[in-house]
Amino acid sequence: MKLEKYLKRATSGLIGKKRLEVREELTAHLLERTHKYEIAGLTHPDALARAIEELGDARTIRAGMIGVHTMPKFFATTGLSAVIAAGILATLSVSSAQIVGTLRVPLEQCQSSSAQIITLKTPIGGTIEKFPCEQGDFWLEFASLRATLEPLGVKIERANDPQLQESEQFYLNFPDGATVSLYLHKMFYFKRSATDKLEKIPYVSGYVEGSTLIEAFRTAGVSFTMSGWDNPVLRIGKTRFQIGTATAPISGVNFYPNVLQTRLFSLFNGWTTESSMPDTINNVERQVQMYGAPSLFRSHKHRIQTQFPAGQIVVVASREPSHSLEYEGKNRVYPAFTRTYIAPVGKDGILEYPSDAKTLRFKDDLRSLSVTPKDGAGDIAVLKFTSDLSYNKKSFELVPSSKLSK
Amino acid sequence: MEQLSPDANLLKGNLDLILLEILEAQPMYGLEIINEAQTRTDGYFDFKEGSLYPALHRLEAQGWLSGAFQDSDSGGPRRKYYRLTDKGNRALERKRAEWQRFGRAIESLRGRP
Repeated sequence: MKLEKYLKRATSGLIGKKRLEVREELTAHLLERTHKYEIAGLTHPDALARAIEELGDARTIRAGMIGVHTMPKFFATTGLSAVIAAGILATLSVSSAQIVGTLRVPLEQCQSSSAQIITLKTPIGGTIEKFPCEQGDFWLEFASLRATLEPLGVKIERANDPQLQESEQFYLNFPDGATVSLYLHKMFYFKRSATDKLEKIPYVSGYVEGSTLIEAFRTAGVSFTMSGWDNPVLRIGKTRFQIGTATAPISGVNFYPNVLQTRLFSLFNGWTTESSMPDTINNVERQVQMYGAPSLFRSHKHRIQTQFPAGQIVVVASREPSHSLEYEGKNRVYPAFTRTYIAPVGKDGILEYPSDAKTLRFKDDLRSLSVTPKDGAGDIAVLKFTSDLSYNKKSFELVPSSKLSK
Repeated sequence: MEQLSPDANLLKGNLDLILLEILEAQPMYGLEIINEAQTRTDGYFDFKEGSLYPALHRLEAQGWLSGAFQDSDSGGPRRKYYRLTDKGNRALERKRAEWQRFGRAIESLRGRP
């Protein structure tokens, strides 16, 4: 199964015959290496694990292969080097891009080979296909944002700042006085100059990175809230609008962790020490991303009765025991860490909560959470957003345990 | 004595040249290329395997290499063998010349006040 999983990751995003060919080539490589280590005395699982480790992170292979095999037609027809296309792709994958009116693929879909592929246009013609299941961010098309906000009375003006040659800044002036300063995301492409040097050329993408957008709104100085799971609704002052469309949806899985990660971290900071939670920010992010999608990797599913209406977003905090996670092809062992599970309350106020704990204990103090033993009794604390997420306000409040039941 | 590995960027920047040099002699498949690079350089070129395959595919897409599957002599899955094309041979000549010019330029900097 490990081999299958690896091959799937390494070839996802490739299409048809090319995918099969890459798969066959990598299979031959891994099996030959595995055989060599078996002869040297390793068991088959150990030999295979070592062969996979040596071949390296499947995502590296996939990114490289996609760069070659989904090369924009423009590059192919003009004879520009594929290195140029790969350069653009590498730049994009750093920022993790998504598109048109928004887009981010739910984690569940990323487990399947039919996960959505998006197409990015380059400023010099041609397109690039991008597999969007890597990182938790999302992007908004600025033109879509403008078309949504202007009819609501928001005046949008471009900042004339000579310092901003490589990016564009806009001011969004809301009807009730708030001004949001927004930067469009900067990308790069590579072009070969007359002297045959590769030049890195910046351009304004026309997209706003999701976290940038939310942070900009939060610092605008008026009340700001978010609600809803699929295509969440933002409200700033009296203006409401939706992030995502029916054809380009945004799931809360990708929206809330990304937006709230640093706020969650600040929430937990102070009751854990660095020695017990190294790499804490990454842990919070990874756990939210890994377990934000329902039912993934957990042995028990609990139904918690809340007093919230359906759709209310809540955060369930728990402490998890030491275990190892595969990260960039290597197993990293983590000591106890914080798990933050973000999800919407379902029908009749029921929150489905996947956990390794067999039974749950509700707590009223984050500091009193003990580490959840597998298949034992686990402590949890439930939090919800406050009614105003603007920057100088508290973002979360604890839900009293008296308002929760099993 | 410990064999120091080259700087990763140096390796990456010259990966095309290295692959073309190795394949000049005869067609080889991925794992064979890795082993050949290590053997011929006493382990100096121990590049990341994951970067090899995208590079081979890129050179193939550029027309410098031609790849074809062949049955494995050990009965395992088919292997993809890569061979240098005429275009690849010309590219190798160019890259060798570039490398030599670069080496001479570095040499000429040595010993200057």
